[in-house]
Amino acid sequence: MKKVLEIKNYSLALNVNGLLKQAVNNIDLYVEEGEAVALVGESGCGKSLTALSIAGLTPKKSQVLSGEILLNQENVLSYHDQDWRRVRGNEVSMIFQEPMTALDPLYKVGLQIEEASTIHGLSRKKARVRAQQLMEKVGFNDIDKVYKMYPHQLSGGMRQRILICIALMESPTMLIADEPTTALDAMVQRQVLYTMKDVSSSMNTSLLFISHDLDLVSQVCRRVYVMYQGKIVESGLCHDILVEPSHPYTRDLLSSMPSIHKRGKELPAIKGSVPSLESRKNKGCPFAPRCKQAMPICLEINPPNTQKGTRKASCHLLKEENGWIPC
Amino acid sequence: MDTMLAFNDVSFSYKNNRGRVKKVLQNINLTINKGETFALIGESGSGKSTLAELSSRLLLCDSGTITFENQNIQKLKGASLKAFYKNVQIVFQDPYSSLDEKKTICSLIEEPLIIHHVGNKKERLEMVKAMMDEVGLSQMYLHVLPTKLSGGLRQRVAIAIALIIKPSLVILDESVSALDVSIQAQVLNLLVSLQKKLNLTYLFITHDLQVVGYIADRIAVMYRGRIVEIAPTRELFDNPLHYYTRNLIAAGTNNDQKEAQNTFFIEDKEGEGCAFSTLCQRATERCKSEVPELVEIQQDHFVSCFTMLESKKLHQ
Amino acid sequence: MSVYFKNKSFVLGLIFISLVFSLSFVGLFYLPYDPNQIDIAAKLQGVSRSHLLGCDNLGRDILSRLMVGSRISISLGFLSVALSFLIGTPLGAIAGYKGGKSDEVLMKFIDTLMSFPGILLALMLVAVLGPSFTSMLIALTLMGLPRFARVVRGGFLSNRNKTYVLSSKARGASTSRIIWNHILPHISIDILNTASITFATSVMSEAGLSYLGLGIQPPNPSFGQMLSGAQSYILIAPHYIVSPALLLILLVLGFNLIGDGLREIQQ
Repeated sequence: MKKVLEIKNYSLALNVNGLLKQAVNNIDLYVEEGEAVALVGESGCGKSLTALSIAGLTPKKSQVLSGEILLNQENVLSYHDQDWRRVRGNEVSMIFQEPMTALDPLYKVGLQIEEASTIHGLSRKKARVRAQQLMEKVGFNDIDKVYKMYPHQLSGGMRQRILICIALMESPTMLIADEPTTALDAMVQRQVLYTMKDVSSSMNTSLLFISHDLDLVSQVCRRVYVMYQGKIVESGLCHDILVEPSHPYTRDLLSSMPSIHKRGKELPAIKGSVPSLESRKNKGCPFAPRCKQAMPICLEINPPNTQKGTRKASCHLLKEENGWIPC
Repeated sequence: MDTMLAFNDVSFSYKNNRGRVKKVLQNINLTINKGETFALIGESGSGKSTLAELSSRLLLCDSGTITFENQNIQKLKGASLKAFYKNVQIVFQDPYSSLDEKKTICSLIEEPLIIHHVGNKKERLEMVKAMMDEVGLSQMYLHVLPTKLSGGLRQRVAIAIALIIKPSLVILDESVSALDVSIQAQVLNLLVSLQKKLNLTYLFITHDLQVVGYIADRIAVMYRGRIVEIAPTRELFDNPLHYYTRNLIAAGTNNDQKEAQNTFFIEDKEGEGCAFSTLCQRATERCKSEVPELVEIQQDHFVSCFTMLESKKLHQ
Repeated sequence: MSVYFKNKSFVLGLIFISLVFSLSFVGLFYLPYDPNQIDIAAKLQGVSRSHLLGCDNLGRDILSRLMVGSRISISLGFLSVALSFLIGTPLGAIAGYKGGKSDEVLMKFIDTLMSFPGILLALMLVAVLGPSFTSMLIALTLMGLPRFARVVRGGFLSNRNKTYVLSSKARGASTSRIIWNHILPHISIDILNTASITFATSVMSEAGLSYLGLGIQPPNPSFGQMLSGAQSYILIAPHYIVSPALLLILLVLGFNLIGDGLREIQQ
């Protein structure tokens, strides 16, 4: 299958109080045509920065240290403004967490969806037809009514669906969604999630889903990358990883999540807290200080990237005898 | 069972300057017993945060009575009001906005002691240090400003502030919702152990079903300003009776079936009758015009639904 | 504290006003000449060793007059700002903290006050009380009052619902505790800023009013008085107008710079 997105050995540093600190550390990631892939991790792991890098929206105080990001086989790191104007909306689209600030409160939502394509040349009439088709696809029942409404008249879930329409107006090959459901209620979250999945697969648009909720993304994504402190510690099929995580971080994270089945027992919480970007050391495995199974080597040497079947993970505990081959 | 906090037919509305009235809570009836962890679960707009503010007396209700240890909290004055503020504490959701950034950790945790005239300066410092130990905060943070602390640590400070005055009821308003998963577990463990140690009663407000399943003894489900179901935790998860609760449990547990309802409601639509009737699969005409009362359908299990009431009558 | 001194605007402003303040301070103990002593022979004399800033149209020493005049302007500034602050702050606090009816009533009062142009106010006062230091003081206080009230009100409105304020309330903190401990510290820079700007405005207003003859009366010197006297002689004896103008500019600019500095520091 063709790869619409391929990130190779990408590193990004941020300027923090005058010092350059690596926020994203040699990551490899790919998304195939029509595929839904998740990038999960807690705050500070670099997942949002990675997403912004793909769309060319990294903050000014950042610097690319290495690697390339291939979007439809073209390296976006070498793009200039006019390249981005051509590509955004057309090849790559992005949806963010807070739907209210992404919509202009002064204009009717239908108009805002239309606008998303007239920039690139569709006639007004055709744009309207397409906008309404998309609205139907995302599940609006009373399209004419909603078309004429203003953002503040809609609920969070509805606004997010409008943003999905805007993002998909020009049938991009890749849709990046950065925590699009975090600000929504639990039930609406699910609906928006399924909508995104359905609509994008019907248009053969690939989906890169950024989230902190491994459980949630596993409902719509096939593969997942787990990030911690700027590195991808594990990747593979969602269901595999949920059932049997290979990396201690993923394992500890999943077992520390509360549920009714754990009632009465103390939650096996990961000790300590995520160190800030300023205090990060680039020596050894990033998770070693908090890992229950850490060995002396973990603090000194970066664990190698190894592969076993569809799984990839980076941990000194994964031995070649058990089928983990360096890659 | 001792009743700690009770709501009796409580209603509350917001009135803005132009006279527009928005009903936030309607006819709330619930009792919280001493020593239990009572959870309130609902989505945004359900009124659960307002209920937290009413319980801590930050707001006063329009009708009905709220009693704490059998005293009407709205009628309290003077010494008994001060005693109320000592006994009922609240921990907010956002660890970033709930701490005054111009004050050191020490003076933040010390404040409740000063307000209630506990001890002298020396004694207070000792109490602050002891409390910090209790919640797992290193003493190196004593004279530091909150800006230097992460969300998880700040929330520990918020808990310390709430507990230093030795309350009997603690209201936790989405207190773990803003935390990262790995930190959430730490704070939940802390809350559970402190409850046992200090004999606390918790009113736990959240939208997160997993957290509620783990920590709560009894759960009340809220929808659009009303309570639709109350039951012990396991009972609610195994046997949800109200259709809204059913949808909630299905959405929360990882089911492959897409039992999700189309909740495309528009904000201002407020009709008569059961608020869920427009979306409920078994809504009848009666549901659309009358509001069902909260009735005990099974032992300890309350539901507000006409259909359930009917089937109970049939089975009697 | 050190933060303040690192800010360029603040430091520069402080230097400017210090120059003017020290001039008037020295004037408390030593004056080269009697500021009101007329010496027709020295009429409009330029800068010289005996008269460092020259003489005015009545032969009076400009430097001495400035030393006394600046003292009058500065004290008017200080007193009017202090009074505006003392009256305006509680008004703004009540309006901002309580809101509702109190807010409406108080703001109507403040708005009424604001709608009067300063000159009109001064004119009315002068008509009733006659031109003097007191009538100037009252006029300037009334002009500066609304600004304090508005700023304090704004600060209270935006801070009263902060979560940490609610948190204190929920623990039984009294209203005064909340105001002193949790709201005022957060708006203190805004208040300082307002004081700074109001001072500058007061000095300017005084100059303007005295220039029009509504304030400080001759022979008492003040910036406005001297500017008024000097304007007829701009071409013949520019030194007469330059010195008071320069000092006035230094003072006003200085306060504005301090205000800018404070705002920058806050961000």
